Amino acid sequence: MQQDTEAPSGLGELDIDLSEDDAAFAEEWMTWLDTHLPAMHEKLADAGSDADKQALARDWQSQMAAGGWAAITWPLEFGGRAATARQQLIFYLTSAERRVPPLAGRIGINLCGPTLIAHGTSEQQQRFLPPMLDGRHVWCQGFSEPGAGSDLASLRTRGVVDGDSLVITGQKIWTSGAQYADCMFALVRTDPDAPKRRGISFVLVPMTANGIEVRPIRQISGDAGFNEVFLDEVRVPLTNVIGELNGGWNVTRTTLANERAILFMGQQMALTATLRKAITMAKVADPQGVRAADDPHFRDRIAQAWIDVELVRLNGMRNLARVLAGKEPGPEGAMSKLFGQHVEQKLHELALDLGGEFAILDRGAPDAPNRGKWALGWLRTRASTIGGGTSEIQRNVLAERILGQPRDPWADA
Amino acid sequence: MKFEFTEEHQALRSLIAGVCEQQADPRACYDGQSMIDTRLWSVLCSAGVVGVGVPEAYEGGGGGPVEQVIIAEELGRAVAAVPFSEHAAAAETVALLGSEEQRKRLLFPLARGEAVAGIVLPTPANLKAVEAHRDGARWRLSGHIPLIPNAGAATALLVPAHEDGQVRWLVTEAAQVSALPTVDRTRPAAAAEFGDADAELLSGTDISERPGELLMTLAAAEAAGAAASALQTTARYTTERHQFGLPIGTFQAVKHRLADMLVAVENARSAVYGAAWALAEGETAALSASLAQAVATGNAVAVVSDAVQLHGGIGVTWECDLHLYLRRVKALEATYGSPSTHRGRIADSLLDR
Repeated sequence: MQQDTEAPSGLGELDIDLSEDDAAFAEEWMTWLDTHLPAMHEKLADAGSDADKQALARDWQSQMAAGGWAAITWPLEFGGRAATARQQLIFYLTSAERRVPPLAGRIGINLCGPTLIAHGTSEQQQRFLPPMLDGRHVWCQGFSEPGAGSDLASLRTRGVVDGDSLVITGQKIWTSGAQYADCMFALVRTDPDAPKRRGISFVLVPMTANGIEVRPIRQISGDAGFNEVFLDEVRVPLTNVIGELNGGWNVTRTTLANERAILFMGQQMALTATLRKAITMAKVADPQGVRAADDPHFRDRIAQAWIDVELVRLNGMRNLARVLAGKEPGPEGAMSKLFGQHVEQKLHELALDLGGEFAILDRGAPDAPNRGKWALGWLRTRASTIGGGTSEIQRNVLAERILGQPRDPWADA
Repeated sequence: MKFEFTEEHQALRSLIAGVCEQQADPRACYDGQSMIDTRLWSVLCSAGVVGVGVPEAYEGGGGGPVEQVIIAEELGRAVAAVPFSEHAAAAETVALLGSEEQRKRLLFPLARGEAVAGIVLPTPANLKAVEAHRDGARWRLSGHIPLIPNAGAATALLVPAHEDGQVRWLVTEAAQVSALPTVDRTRPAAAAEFGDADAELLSGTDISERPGELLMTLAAAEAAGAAASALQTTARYTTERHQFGLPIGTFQAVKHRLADMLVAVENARSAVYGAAWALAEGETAALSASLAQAVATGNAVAVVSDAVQLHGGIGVTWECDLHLYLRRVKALEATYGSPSTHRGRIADSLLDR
């Protein structure tokens, strides 16, 4: 399966100037990978169960942390490298090129760590960051609730102060990785009488606390990556609140605009790999001798898919050029989610359609296109335009923040 | 690095925007008084904009595709009625294929804009329609081209012809060029009757696709600029126009259409810049130019059509400038290959190799 995924174009195509520091960074990273990566790839190839894979992902994270590679954007004092935008780019591109496995605790490192670094007390940082970094503590994010999706600030899980504790009761949903997580960073309502964005606190919850129950949610594809998390009078110390009590909404707004400008690379590489594979298969005759590449309608859709993936790349490059020049990311960054996810969805739909009548075959059928993976990808990518902010919410954001339209009358002040 | 606009680029953009704001009068072409916006053209000539892509040795600006794309985009923003893109592609042809003597003689007037050049692209139909014959040191052209885009004001034409099984380029000032009424008056097309017209052959035998690729990219940039301007105008209008007691931009039906227009505009610009940098770095730009055309012209038609819709009744009046934009982008979409034609080229390169 790896053969038809050519190496991405890499740094050469970017044509960026590297300082001596950047070059040394790249050299050190490559050398480290040469030493550590092959053994991990071997172990991963042999891993069977999800639990095995999870254990390996933690093991990998501890190796990466020991090498100083687990959280390169964090400051030096917390075990990071305070990596420059160029260094992040090098890191990201080579990670994709060399198939560096994801970290077990990437949600914590990418989303919770920066918040702790920006808003946590020194005591909180000392307590939570080291195990977050080395994989002893894997984190999940407890934001969405059954009644609080797009309208996140209407969340109702409540936290009641009782002495020096916070007692939490409620329900979180769509919680990725909660079944493996040691801790959850969550938003809870600590002042039900305040305007809705002003009564929310950002709190860290150990998943081993009494009163927590995790139930997996089976998704449209049949996988179960998401969970519901039920909290019934879960007691955590008040010292687990990050930032001010009732100040949690602003705490969550620790943005990572620069990192987002670089993350598009991963998205584009995944899209390019899928597109290449779809094109390769379109040129091959199906069991009855029919080639999708001979169908004018499919030819047009394949060309459009290529155009769309190119646009994701070009939008990303424009944004990246701004970031590397030290400017603020432009509208291209805000658009990339809306457009990129639409492209991802359309591309998977095309890949499935290219199978013609054989597209109906699932895993197990000998003639199932791509061994049933296109069908799985098509189902999975139905979530692309929903998770992390629906396309409808993204359109509101673009119209309001970039085109200066009035906010929805029902939106919070 | 690629895609990085320098301060000089920004200054050029502001210069063109400023000139257009003060001088451009696209409606002059609709009242029958003028073939092109002559006042704007002469300002652009004296500012050195017209010859920006001509090498400095021939009194040009020594710029390249990135500078030309910035100019074309800003001219598109103002629906400026000047043949910048075609003139630039014609000059590029001379610069690429002319002898040193020809470059000296032909490029100076082109750089200054004293001559206005049109260009006939080497499509199969055009190549069939024109024949070139040697006549001593000079050449003669015969035949008839029924449609040359934006050549209504051309005083010189770059014409491709088959010669010894190759495509060669000739320059003529003797063709009978007749302007044709066009839906978009800001890009007046012409027909050319050659009737044994005197011409000279450019000495270069390199069959360069570059003039066509440059022209497609610049035309796409005009479309992207026009779309960006229509979006800007519309986003302002929807905050001013009230219905049901609120600015209409409050309503998600309007807001979401605007967001989709924004994505379409930025995609068009990205596609155009991608082609500009491919040309600037001397890469094979056929696919990039097709990408720019396929995305920018089609998206521009969608965006300007949406702009008309969001303006309601006022959008369908002669008084509202949007129809100038609508005509312009529709004409651009049809001119150098439709989006589906360009997708066809892309499909050929992806699937038939």
